[in-house]
Amino acid sequence: MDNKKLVETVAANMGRSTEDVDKLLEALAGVLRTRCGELDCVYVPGFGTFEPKKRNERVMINPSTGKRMLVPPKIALGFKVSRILKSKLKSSKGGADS
Amino acid sequence: MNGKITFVELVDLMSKATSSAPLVCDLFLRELFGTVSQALINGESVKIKGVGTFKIVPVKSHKAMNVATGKSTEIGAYNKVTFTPDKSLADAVNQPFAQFETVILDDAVTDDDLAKIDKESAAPEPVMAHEADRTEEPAIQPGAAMADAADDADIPAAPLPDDLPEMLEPAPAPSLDDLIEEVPMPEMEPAAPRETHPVKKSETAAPTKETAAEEKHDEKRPQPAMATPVASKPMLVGRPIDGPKVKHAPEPEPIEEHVDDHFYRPEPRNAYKPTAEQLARQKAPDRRWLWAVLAALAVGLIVWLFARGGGSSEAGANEETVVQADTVVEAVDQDVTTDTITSKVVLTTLAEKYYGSQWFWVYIYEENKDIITDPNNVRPGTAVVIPPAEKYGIDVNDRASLKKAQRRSWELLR
Repeated sequence: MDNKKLVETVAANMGRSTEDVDKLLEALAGVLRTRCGELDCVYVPGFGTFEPKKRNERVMINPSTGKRMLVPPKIALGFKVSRILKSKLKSSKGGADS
Repeated sequence: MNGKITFVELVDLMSKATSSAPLVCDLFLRELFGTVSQALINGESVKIKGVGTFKIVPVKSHKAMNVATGKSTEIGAYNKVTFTPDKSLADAVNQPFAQFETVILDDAVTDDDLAKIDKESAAPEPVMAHEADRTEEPAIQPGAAMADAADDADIPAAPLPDDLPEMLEPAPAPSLDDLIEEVPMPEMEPAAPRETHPVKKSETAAPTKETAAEEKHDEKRPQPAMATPVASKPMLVGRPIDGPKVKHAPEPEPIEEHVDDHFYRPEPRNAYKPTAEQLARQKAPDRRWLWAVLAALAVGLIVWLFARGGGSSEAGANEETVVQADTVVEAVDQDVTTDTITSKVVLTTLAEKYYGSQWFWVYIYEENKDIITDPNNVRPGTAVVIPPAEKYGIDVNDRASLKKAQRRSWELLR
Protein backbone atom coordinates (compact mmCIF):
# COMPACT_ATOMS: atom_id res chain seq x y z
CA MET A 1 0.00 0.00 0.00
CA ASP A 2 1.62 3.23 -1.07
CA ASN A 3 1.07 6.69 0.30
CA LYS A 4 -1.56 7.67 -2.24
CA LYS A 5 -3.72 4.65 -1.62
CA LEU A 6 -3.37 5.06 2.13
CA VAL A 7 -4.45 8.69 1.96
CA GLU A 8 -7.41 7.76 -0.21
CA THR A 9 -8.52 4.99 2.12
CA VAL A 10 -8.25 7.16 5.21
CA ALA A 11 -10.01 10.03 3.46
CA ALA A 12 -12.87 7.77 2.42
CA ASN A 13 -13.22 6.35 5.92
CA MET A 14 -13.17 9.78 7.52
CA GLY A 15 -15.44 11.38 4.96
CA ARG A 16 -12.94 14.15 4.25
CA SER A 17 -11.04 15.24 1.20
CA THR A 18 -7.64 13.83 0.38
CA GLU A 19 -6.12 17.31 0.70
CA ASP A 20 -7.23 17.49 4.32
CA VAL A 21 -5.79 14.08 5.03
CA ASP A 22 -2.55 15.06 3.31
CA LYS A 23 -2.33 18.10 5.52
CA LEU A 24 -2.93 16.05 8.66
CA LEU A 25 -0.36 13.50 7.57
CA GLU A 26 2.19 16.25 7.03
CA ALA A 27 1.39 17.57 10.51
CA LEU A 28 1.96 14.10 11.97
CA ALA A 29 5.31 13.87 10.22
CA GLY A 30 6.17 17.33 11.54
CA VAL A 31 5.32 16.36 15.09
CA LEU A 32 7.41 13.20 14.78
CA ARG A 33 10.32 15.20 13.36
CA THR A 34 10.40 17.74 16.15
CA ARG A 35 9.54 15.51 19.08
CA CYS A 36 11.70 12.55 18.11
CA GLY A 37 14.46 15.05 17.40
CA GLU A 38 14.16 15.98 21.06
CA LEU A 39 14.47 12.30 21.97
CA ASP A 40 10.86 11.91 22.98
CA CYS A 41 9.06 8.66 22.30
CA VAL A 42 5.76 8.96 20.51
CA TYR A 43 3.29 6.35 21.64
CA VAL A 44 0.34 5.27 19.54
CA PRO A 45 -1.94 2.88 21.42
CA GLY A 46 -2.65 -0.36 19.65
CA PHE A 47 0.03 0.29 17.09
CA GLY A 48 3.42 0.93 18.59
CA THR A 49 5.98 3.43 19.77
CA PHE A 50 8.34 5.55 17.75
CA GLU A 51 11.48 5.80 19.82
CA PRO A 52 14.73 7.51 18.97
CA LYS A 53 17.82 5.69 20.20
CA LYS A 54 21.36 6.94 20.46
CA ARG A 55 24.01 4.73 18.97
CA ASN A 56 27.50 5.27 20.29
CA GLU A 57 30.48 5.92 18.12
CA ARG A 58 32.47 2.83 17.25
CA VAL A 59 35.51 1.67 15.38
CA MET A 60 34.69 -0.35 12.32
CA ILE A 61 36.91 -2.10 9.81
CA ASN A 62 36.09 -1.67 6.20
CA PRO A 63 36.13 -5.26 4.94
CA SER A 64 37.27 -4.36 1.44
CA THR A 65 40.14 -2.01 2.26
CA GLY A 66 40.98 -3.29 5.73
CA LYS A 67 41.12 0.28 7.00
CA ARG A 68 39.80 1.10 10.42
CA MET A 69 37.22 3.80 10.60
CA LEU A 70 35.74 5.74 13.45
CA VAL A 71 32.02 5.83 12.91
CA PRO A 72 30.42 8.83 14.62
CA PRO A 73 27.55 8.50 17.05
CA LYS A 74 24.04 8.94 15.75
CA ILE A 75 20.43 8.96 16.75
CA ALA A 76 18.36 6.39 14.94
CA LEU A 77 14.60 6.34 14.99
CA GLY A 78 13.25 2.97 15.90
CA PHE A 79 9.79 1.55 16.09
CA LYS A 80 8.50 -0.90 18.65
CA VAL A 81 5.38 -2.79 17.72
CA SER A 82 2.66 -2.87 20.32
CA ARG A 83 1.77 -6.17 21.89
CA ILE A 84 -1.73 -6.08 20.51
CA LEU A 85 -0.62 -5.66 16.94
CA LYS A 86 2.12 -8.21 17.40
CA SER A 87 -0.26 -10.90 18.53
CA LYS A 88 -2.59 -10.08 15.67
CA LEU A 89 0.23 -10.33 13.18
CA LYS A 90 1.31 -13.65 14.56
CA SER A 91 -1.88 -15.23 13.39
CA SER A 92 -2.06 -13.32 10.12
CA LYS A 93 -0.94 -14.79 6.84
CA GLY A 94 2.06 -12.52 6.71
CA GLY A 95 4.35 -11.07 4.12
CA ALA A 96 4.23 -13.75 1.49
CA ASP A 97 3.78 -11.17 -1.20
CA SER A 98 6.15 -8.53 0.01
CA MET B 1 13.26 15.22 26.39
CA ASN B 2 13.18 11.51 26.88
CA GLY B 3 9.55 11.83 27.67
CA LYS B 4 6.81 9.70 26.33
CA ILE B 5 4.23 11.46 24.22
CA THR B 6 0.88 9.91 24.81
CA PHE B 7 -1.96 9.76 22.36
CA VAL B 8 -3.71 12.72 23.95
CA GLU B 9 -0.59 14.86 23.69
CA LEU B 10 -0.03 13.77 20.12
CA VAL B 11 -3.58 14.78 19.25
CA ASP B 12 -3.04 18.09 20.96
CA LEU B 13 0.24 18.77 19.15
CA MET B 14 -1.32 17.90 15.85
CA SER B 15 -4.36 20.05 16.36
CA LYS B 16 -2.07 22.94 17.17
CA ALA B 17 0.00 22.32 14.07
CA THR B 18 -2.99 22.14 11.75
CA SER B 19 -5.29 24.46 13.71
CA SER B 20 -8.06 21.93 13.33
CA ALA B 21 -10.29 20.52 16.03
CA PRO B 22 -8.69 17.91 18.29
CA LEU B 23 -11.55 15.61 17.47
CA VAL B 24 -10.58 15.58 13.81
CA CYS B 25 -6.96 14.77 14.63
CA ASP B 26 -8.07 12.06 17.03
CA LEU B 27 -10.23 10.49 14.38
CA PHE B 28 -7.53 10.86 11.77
CA LEU B 29 -4.89 9.12 13.88
CA ARG B 30 -7.23 6.28 14.71
CA GLU B 31 -8.17 5.84 11.09
CA LEU B 32 -4.61 6.11 9.87
CA PHE B 33 -3.08 3.62 12.23
CA GLY B 34 -6.12 1.38 12.00
CA THR B 35 -5.71 1.27 8.23
CA VAL B 36 -1.99 0.67 8.49
CA SER B 37 -2.48 -2.14 11.01
CA GLN B 38 -5.10 -3.74 8.83
CA ALA B 39 -2.83 -3.56 5.80
CA LEU B 40 0.00 -5.09 7.80
CA ILE B 41 -2.25 -7.86 9.00
CA ASN B 42 -3.15 -8.52 5.39
CA GLY B 43 0.55 -8.89 4.68
CA GLU B 44 0.98 -5.64 2.81
CA SER B 45 3.80 -3.20 3.40
CA VAL B 46 2.78 0.39 3.91
CA LYS B 47 4.62 3.53 2.96
CA ILE B 48 3.71 6.79 4.66
CA LYS B 49 5.17 9.94 3.21
CA GLY B 50 7.30 11.82 5.70
CA VAL B 51 7.16 9.01 8.24
CA GLY B 52 8.56 5.87 6.71
CA THR B 53 7.85 2.38 5.53
CA PHE B 54 6.34 -0.41 7.55
CA LYS B 55 7.14 -3.82 6.22
CA ILE B 56 6.06 -7.20 7.34
CA VAL B 57 8.73 -9.84 7.28
CA PRO B 58 8.07 -13.51 7.88
CA VAL B 59 10.41 -15.15 10.34
CA LYS B 60 10.94 -18.87 9.89
CA SER B 61 10.63 -21.16 12.82
CA HIS B 62 13.99 -21.61 14.43
CA LYS B 63 15.66 -23.09 17.46
CA ALA B 64 16.61 -20.92 20.39
CA MET B 65 18.16 -21.62 23.73
CA ASN B 66 16.55 -20.69 26.97
CA VAL B 67 19.29 -18.75 28.67
CA ALA B 68 18.13 -19.61 32.17
CA THR B 69 17.78 -23.36 31.75
CA GLY B 70 20.04 -24.01 28.78
CA LYS B 71 17.37 -26.02 27.06
CA SER B 72 16.82 -25.44 23.39
CA THR B 73 13.31 -24.65 22.32
CA GLU B 74 11.67 -24.29 18.99
CA ILE B 75 10.28 -20.87 18.17
CA GLY B 76 7.50 -21.11 15.66
CA ALA B 77 7.31 -19.05 12.51
CA TYR B 78 5.86 -15.60 12.94
CA ASN B 79 5.65 -12.26 11.21
CA LYS B 80 7.49 -9.24 12.40
CA VAL B 81 7.20 -5.62 11.50
CA THR B 82 10.19 -3.61 10.38
CA PHE B 83 10.14 0.14 10.19
CA THR B 84 12.44 2.20 8.02
CA PRO B 85 12.13 5.89 8.73
CA ASP B 86 11.73 8.25 5.83
CA LYS B 87 14.95 10.04 4.87
CA SER B 88 13.62 13.43 5.95
CA LEU B 89 12.51 12.06 9.33
CA ALA B 90 15.73 10.15 9.93
CA ASP B 91 17.78 13.24 9.12
CA ALA B 92 15.68 15.44 11.36
CA VAL B 93 16.09 13.02 14.26
CA ASN B 94 19.82 12.69 13.70
CA GLN B 95 20.28 16.41 13.22
CA PRO B 96 22.45 16.95 16.34
CA PHE B 97 25.04 14.53 14.98
CA ALA B 98 24.63 15.40 11.34
CA GLN B 99 27.86 17.37 11.26
CA PHE B 100 30.06 14.36 11.97
CA GLU B 101 31.50 12.15 9.33
CA THR B 102 33.17 8.81 9.44
CA VAL B 103 36.89 9.25 9.96
CA ILE B 104 39.48 6.84 8.69
CA LEU B 105 41.91 6.07 11.49
CA ASP B 106 45.58 6.25 10.83
CA ASP B 107 47.55 3.03 11.14
CA ALA B 108 49.63 4.57 13.89
CA VAL B 109 46.63 4.78 16.20
CA THR B 110 46.57 1.50 18.05
CA ASP B 111 43.79 -0.10 19.99
CA ASP B 112 45.66 0.70 23.17
CA ASP B 113 45.55 4.39 22.35
CA LEU B 114 41.83 4.25 21.83
CA ALA B 115 41.33 2.28 25.02
CA LYS B 116 43.44 4.80 26.90
CA ILE B 117 41.37 7.66 25.60
CA ASP B 118 38.19 5.86 26.52
CA LYS B 119 39.45 5.32 30.03
CA GLU B 120 40.56 8.89 30.42
CA SER B 121 37.37 10.35 29.13
CA ALA B 122 35.37 7.97 31.28
CA ALA B 123 37.10 8.62 34.58
CA PRO B 124 37.37 12.35 35.21
CA GLU B 125 34.44 13.43 33.20
CA PRO B 126 31.47 12.92 35.49
CA VAL B 127 32.89 15.63 37.70
CA MET B 128 33.62 17.79 34.73
CA ALA B 129 30.16 17.32 33.45
CA HIS B 130 28.66 18.88 36.50
CA GLU B 131 31.11 21.71 36.48
CA ALA B 132 30.36 22.42 32.90
CA ASP B 133 26.67 22.32 33.56
CA ARG B 134 26.95 24.67 36.45
CA THR B 135 29.06 27.20 34.69
CA GLU B 136 26.76 27.24 31.76
CA GLU B 137 23.51 27.26 33.60
CA PRO B 138 22.93 31.01 33.58
CA ALA B 139 23.61 31.52 29.91
CA ILE B 140 21.21 29.41 27.96
CA GLN B 141 22.46 30.26 24.56
CA PRO B 142 22.27 27.82 21.74
CA GLY B 143 25.75 28.76 20.68
CA ALA B 144 27.32 27.85 23.99
CA ALA B 145 25.97 24.36 23.97
CA MET B 146 26.94 23.92 20.36
CA ALA B 147 30.45 24.90 21.28
CA ASP B 148 30.45 22.17 23.88
CA ALA B 149 29.39 19.67 21.35
CA ALA B 150 32.15 20.80 19.05
CA ASP B 151 34.67 20.69 21.86
CA ASP B 152 33.75 17.25 22.92
CA ALA B 153 33.40 15.86 19.48
CA ASP B 154 37.15 15.56 19.54
CA ILE B 155 37.44 13.68 22.78
CA PRO B 156 36.38 10.24 21.62
CA ALA B 157 38.64 10.41 18.60
CA ALA B 158 41.86 11.72 20.08
CA PRO B 159 43.02 13.94 22.89
CA LEU B 160 42.63 17.62 22.38
CA PRO B 161 45.73 19.36 21.22
CA ASP B 162 47.10 21.85 23.67
CA ASP B 163 47.13 24.64 21.18
CA LEU B 164 43.46 24.37 20.33
CA PRO B 165 42.42 27.75 21.71
CA GLU B 166 45.17 29.55 19.81
CA MET B 167 44.33 27.61 16.76
CA LEU B 168 40.74 28.64 16.98
CA GLU B 169 41.10 32.22 17.96
CA PRO B 170 42.50 33.79 14.83
CA ALA B 171 40.02 32.11 12.55
CA PRO B 172 36.66 33.82 12.61
CA ALA B 173 34.63 30.65 12.09
CA PRO B 174 36.65 27.45 11.97
CA SER B 175 34.56 24.76 10.41
CA LEU B 176 33.95 21.64 12.40
CA ASP B 177 35.27 19.47 9.66
CA ASP B 178 38.66 21.06 10.06
CA LEU B 179 38.69 20.12 13.68
CA ILE B 180 37.73 16.58 12.97
CA GLU B 181 40.39 16.20 10.36
CA GLU B 182 43.00 17.36 12.77
CA VAL B 183 42.03 14.86 15.33
CA PRO B 184 43.36 11.46 14.33
CA MET B 185 46.88 12.62 13.64
CA PRO B 186 49.23 10.51 15.67
CA GLU B 187 51.73 13.19 16.62
CA MET B 188 49.13 15.00 18.67
CA GLU B 189 49.95 15.18 22.31
CA PRO B 190 47.85 12.92 24.44
CA ALA B 191 45.27 14.28 26.84
CA ALA B 192 45.11 17.98 27.12
CA PRO B 193 44.60 18.95 30.73
CA ARG B 194 40.91 18.72 31.41
CA GLU B 195 40.88 21.70 33.70
CA THR B 196 41.28 24.03 30.78
CA HIS B 197 37.90 23.06 29.44
CA PRO B 198 35.76 25.76 31.02
CA VAL B 199 38.15 28.41 29.81
CA LYS B 200 38.29 26.98 26.37
CA LYS B 201 34.61 26.87 26.20
CA SER B 202 34.26 30.56 26.60
CA GLU B 203 36.87 31.08 23.97
CA THR B 204 35.47 28.68 21.48
CA ALA B 205 31.93 29.70 22.10
CA ALA B 206 32.13 32.82 19.98
CA PRO B 207 33.46 31.36 16.76
CA THR B 208 31.39 28.22 16.86
CA LYS B 209 28.30 30.15 17.56
CA GLU B 210 28.61 31.49 14.11
CA THR B 211 29.01 28.04 12.67
CA ALA B 212 25.94 26.96 14.49
CA ALA B 213 24.04 29.89 13.14
CA GLU B 214 25.23 29.10 9.65
CA GLU B 215 24.21 25.53 9.96
CA LYS B 216 20.82 26.52 11.03
CA HIS B 217 20.47 28.74 8.04
CA ASP B 218 21.50 25.98 5.75
CA GLU B 219 18.90 23.63 6.98
CA LYS B 220 15.55 25.09 6.39
CA ARG B 221 13.73 22.54 8.43
CA PRO B 222 11.03 23.67 10.81
CA GLN B 223 13.14 22.32 13.64
CA PRO B 224 12.96 24.61 16.65
CA ALA B 225 16.30 26.24 17.21
CA MET B 226 16.69 24.88 20.70
CA ALA B 227 16.40 21.28 19.64
CA THR B 228 19.97 21.20 18.50
CA PRO B 229 21.74 22.13 21.70
CA VAL B 230 19.49 20.02 23.82
CA ALA B 231 20.02 16.89 21.86
CA SER B 232 23.72 17.30 21.41
CA LYS B 233 24.24 17.79 25.12
CA PRO B 234 24.49 14.14 26.14
CA MET B 235 27.32 13.55 23.73
CA LEU B 236 29.29 16.31 25.27
CA VAL B 237 30.45 14.28 28.19
CA GLY B 238 29.94 10.83 26.81
CA ARG B 239 27.07 10.26 29.14
CA PRO B 240 24.33 7.90 28.14
CA ILE B 241 21.72 9.68 26.13
CA ASP B 242 19.23 9.61 28.93
CA GLY B 243 21.47 11.71 31.02
CA PRO B 244 20.08 13.32 34.12
CA LYS B 245 20.47 16.92 33.12
CA VAL B 246 17.80 18.60 31.06
CA LYS B 247 18.81 22.15 30.47
CA HIS B 248 16.48 23.42 27.87
CA ALA B 249 13.64 21.31 29.04
CA PRO B 250 10.78 22.30 26.78
CA GLU B 251 8.18 23.98 28.87
CA PRO B 252 5.49 21.46 29.63
CA GLU B 253 2.82 21.63 27.04
CA PRO B 254 -0.47 22.33 28.65
CA ILE B 255 -2.84 19.61 27.71
CA GLU B 256 -6.03 21.40 27.21
CA GLU B 257 -9.14 19.51 27.84
CA HIS B 258 -11.49 20.79 25.26
CA VAL B 259 -14.60 19.88 27.02
CA ASP B 260 -16.37 22.67 25.24
CA ASP B 261 -19.45 21.41 23.64
CA HIS B 262 -18.72 22.84 20.27
CA PHE B 263 -15.55 20.83 20.04
CA TYR B 264 -17.40 17.64 20.26
CA ARG B 265 -20.07 18.69 17.90
CA PRO B 266 -18.91 17.00 14.75
CA GLU B 267 -18.39 19.24 11.78
CA PRO B 268 -20.97 18.92 9.12
CA ARG B 269 -18.51 17.41 6.67
CA ASN B 270 -17.41 14.93 9.19
CA ALA B 271 -20.79 14.01 10.52
CA TYR B 272 -21.82 10.45 10.10
CA LYS B 273 -25.26 10.37 8.77
CA PRO B 274 -27.34 7.50 9.99
CA THR B 275 -27.48 4.91 7.30
CA ALA B 276 -30.62 3.90 5.52
CA GLU B 277 -30.63 0.73 7.54
CA GLN B 278 -30.66 2.63 10.78
CA LEU B 279 -33.46 4.83 9.61
CA ALA B 280 -35.40 1.77 8.58
CA ARG B 281 -34.83 0.29 12.02
CA GLN B 282 -36.04 3.41 13.69
CA LYS B 283 -39.22 3.21 11.74
CA ALA B 284 -39.53 -0.50 12.38
CA PRO B 285 -41.71 -0.35 15.49
CA ASP B 286 -44.54 1.28 13.55
CA ARG B 287 -44.40 -1.30 10.85
CA ARG B 288 -44.15 -4.22 13.18
CA TRP B 289 -47.85 -4.21 13.90
CA LEU B 290 -48.61 -4.12 10.24
CA TRP B 291 -46.36 -7.12 9.68
CA ALA B 292 -47.91 -9.00 12.53
CA VAL B 293 -51.39 -8.46 11.12
CA LEU B 294 -50.25 -9.43 7.64
CA ALA B 295 -48.56 -12.55 8.97
CA ALA B 296 -51.66 -13.55 10.89
CA LEU B 297 -53.76 -13.07 7.78
CA ALA B 298 -51.35 -15.10 5.70
CA VAL B 299 -51.30 -17.93 8.23
CA GLY B 300 -55.07 -17.93 8.25
CA LEU B 301 -55.09 -18.08 4.48
CA ILE B 302 -52.70 -21.03 4.44
CA VAL B 303 -54.69 -22.92 7.01
CA TRP B 304 -57.78 -22.31 4.96
CA LEU B 305 -56.00 -23.41 1.78
CA PHE B 306 -54.73 -26.57 3.46
CA ALA B 307 -58.18 -27.30 4.76
CA ARG B 308 -59.41 -27.10 1.20
CA GLY B 309 -56.41 -29.14 -0.03
CA GLY B 310 -56.19 -29.89 -3.75
CA GLY B 311 -54.41 -28.09 -6.59
CA SER B 312 -53.59 -24.81 -4.86
CA SER B 313 -51.42 -26.51 -2.21
CA GLU B 314 -48.23 -25.81 -4.15
CA ALA B 315 -48.75 -22.08 -4.19
CA GLY B 316 -49.68 -22.28 -0.55
CA ALA B 317 -46.43 -24.01 0.33
CA ASN B 318 -44.47 -21.28 -1.37
CA GLU B 319 -46.33 -18.64 0.43
CA GLU B 320 -45.77 -20.41 3.68
CA THR B 321 -42.00 -20.38 3.35
CA VAL B 322 -42.09 -16.70 2.58
CA VAL B 323 -44.24 -16.02 5.56
CA GLN B 324 -42.05 -18.11 7.80
CA ALA B 325 -39.01 -16.13 6.76
CA ASP B 326 -40.89 -12.98 7.60
CA THR B 327 -41.87 -14.14 11.02
CA VAL B 328 -38.30 -15.17 11.78
CA VAL B 329 -37.04 -11.74 10.88
CA GLU B 330 -39.77 -10.25 12.98
CA ALA B 331 -38.91 -12.40 15.97
CA VAL B 332 -35.29 -11.32 15.81
CA ASP B 333 -36.26 -7.73 15.30
CA GLN B 334 -38.58 -7.53 18.23
CA ASP B 335 -36.11 -7.93 21.07
CA VAL B 336 -33.10 -6.36 19.40
CA THR B 337 -31.82 -3.05 20.58
CA THR B 338 -29.35 -1.20 18.51
CA ASP B 339 -27.18 1.72 19.32
CA THR B 340 -24.65 3.77 17.47
CA ILE B 341 -20.99 4.16 18.22
CA THR B 342 -19.83 7.75 18.21
CA SER B 343 -16.56 9.36 19.08
CA LYS B 344 -17.70 9.58 22.69
CA VAL B 345 -19.74 6.41 22.88
CA VAL B 346 -17.70 3.25 22.58
CA LEU B 347 -18.33 -0.38 23.42
CA THR B 348 -17.54 0.03 27.08
CA THR B 349 -19.85 2.99 27.52
CA LEU B 350 -22.63 1.06 25.82
CA ALA B 351 -22.03 -1.87 28.13
CA GLU B 352 -22.14 0.46 31.10
CA LYS B 353 -25.38 1.94 29.85
CA TYR B 354 -27.22 -1.28 29.04
CA TYR B 355 -25.76 -3.81 31.48
CA GLY B 356 -24.43 -1.65 34.27
CA SER B 357 -20.78 -2.61 33.90
CA GLN B 358 -18.25 -1.78 31.26
CA TRP B 359 -16.80 -5.27 31.39
CA PHE B 360 -19.74 -6.63 29.47
CA TRP B 361 -18.55 -4.89 26.33
CA VAL B 362 -17.15 -8.25 25.23
CA TYR B 363 -20.64 -9.55 24.58
CA ILE B 364 -21.59 -6.57 22.48
CA TYR B 365 -18.41 -7.15 20.55
CA GLU B 366 -19.14 -10.83 20.06
CA GLU B 367 -22.62 -10.07 18.87
CA ASN B 368 -21.21 -7.67 16.28
CA LYS B 369 -18.03 -9.48 15.37
CA ASP B 370 -18.78 -9.30 11.68
CA ILE B 371 -18.94 -5.51 11.61
CA ILE B 372 -16.32 -4.70 14.22
CA THR B 373 -12.80 -5.62 13.23
CA ASP B 374 -10.97 -3.96 16.08
CA PRO B 375 -12.79 -3.52 19.38
CA ASN B 376 -10.36 -0.78 20.35
CA ASN B 377 -11.09 1.23 17.30
CA VAL B 378 -14.69 1.07 16.21
CA ARG B 379 -15.53 3.55 13.53
CA PRO B 380 -17.94 6.22 14.76
CA GLY B 381 -21.30 5.83 13.13
CA THR B 382 -21.31 2.05 13.37
CA ALA B 383 -24.66 0.70 14.47
CA VAL B 384 -24.21 -2.20 16.86
CA VAL B 385 -26.73 -4.71 18.07
CA ILE B 386 -27.09 -4.86 21.83
CA PRO B 387 -27.85 -8.46 22.70
CA PRO B 388 -30.41 -9.19 25.41
CA ALA B 389 -28.79 -9.70 28.77
CA GLU B 390 -30.14 -13.25 29.13
CA LYS B 391 -28.43 -14.43 25.95
CA TYR B 392 -24.99 -14.35 27.54
CA GLY B 393 -26.07 -14.57 31.15
CA ILE B 394 -25.20 -10.98 31.88
CA ASP B 395 -25.86 -9.92 35.44
CA VAL B 396 -24.06 -7.07 37.14
CA ASN B 397 -24.85 -8.35 40.59
CA ASP B 398 -23.49 -11.78 39.87
CA ARG B 399 -19.77 -11.84 40.52
CA ALA B 400 -19.20 -14.98 38.50
CA SER B 401 -20.75 -13.39 35.44
CA LEU B 402 -18.64 -10.29 35.87
CA LYS B 403 -15.50 -12.36 36.32
CA LYS B 404 -16.28 -14.31 33.19
CA ALA B 405 -16.65 -11.13 31.18
CA GLN B 406 -13.40 -9.79 32.57
CA ARG B 407 -11.53 -12.93 31.67
CA ARG B 408 -13.01 -12.84 28.21
CA SER B 409 -12.00 -9.23 27.70
CA TRP B 410 -8.43 -9.91 28.76
CA GLU B 411 -8.31 -12.76 26.31
CA LEU B 412 -9.56 -10.55 23.53
CA LEU B 413 -7.17 -7.75 24.24
CA ARG B 414 -4.14 -9.87 24.87
